[in-house]
Amino acid sequence: MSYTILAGNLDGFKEGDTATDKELEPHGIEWLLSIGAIQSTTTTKTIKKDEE
Amino acid sequence: MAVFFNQAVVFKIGSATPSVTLSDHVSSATLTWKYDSLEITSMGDLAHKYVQGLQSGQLDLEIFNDLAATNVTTTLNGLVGATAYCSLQQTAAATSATNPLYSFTVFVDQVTPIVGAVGEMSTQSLSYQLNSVVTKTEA
Repeated sequence: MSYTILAGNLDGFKEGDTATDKELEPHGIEWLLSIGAIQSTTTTKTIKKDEE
Repeated sequence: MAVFFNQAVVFKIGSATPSVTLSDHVSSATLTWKYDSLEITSMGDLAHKYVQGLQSGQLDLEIFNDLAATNVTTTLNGLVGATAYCSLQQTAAATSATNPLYSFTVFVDQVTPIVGAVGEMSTQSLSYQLNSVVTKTEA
């Protein structure tokens, strides 16, 4: 999973950067989400069901 | 060696590492650490003698509230009741023997997100006990 950096004061990252779980894990992902420092980057995949 | 005035102390805090920089909202920062002095004076000594005991310390901060995400109020509210990882450095220059980085943890036992009288700046005056030894990094 990847995250967008929303904070300009997060050590080692710039606002707008994309970071991975591995990069953010040492800082505590849950806490970073709770204070609005990062936002989960979700991807939407559309699967078309074959018409019968 | 030269004297200097305080103007550029770097303060960082976080839940697992000192990851959020709040320096631009800190008006005063004081880090104090000390050791218990254990007395070992014995017969024949002509003065008290001591050896080093356990370390303890305190972080005192004057910090302006800011409600923006990842800023002072949100960050501290998210840490209250838990141990936080902090670092302090005299300037943002590279870590060196003349600009050491002090790292430690504190127990965040208080926050004052709403404080002050009408017309005053909303400023938290915080005092936290250190929850670890202080690590001084010089490189």
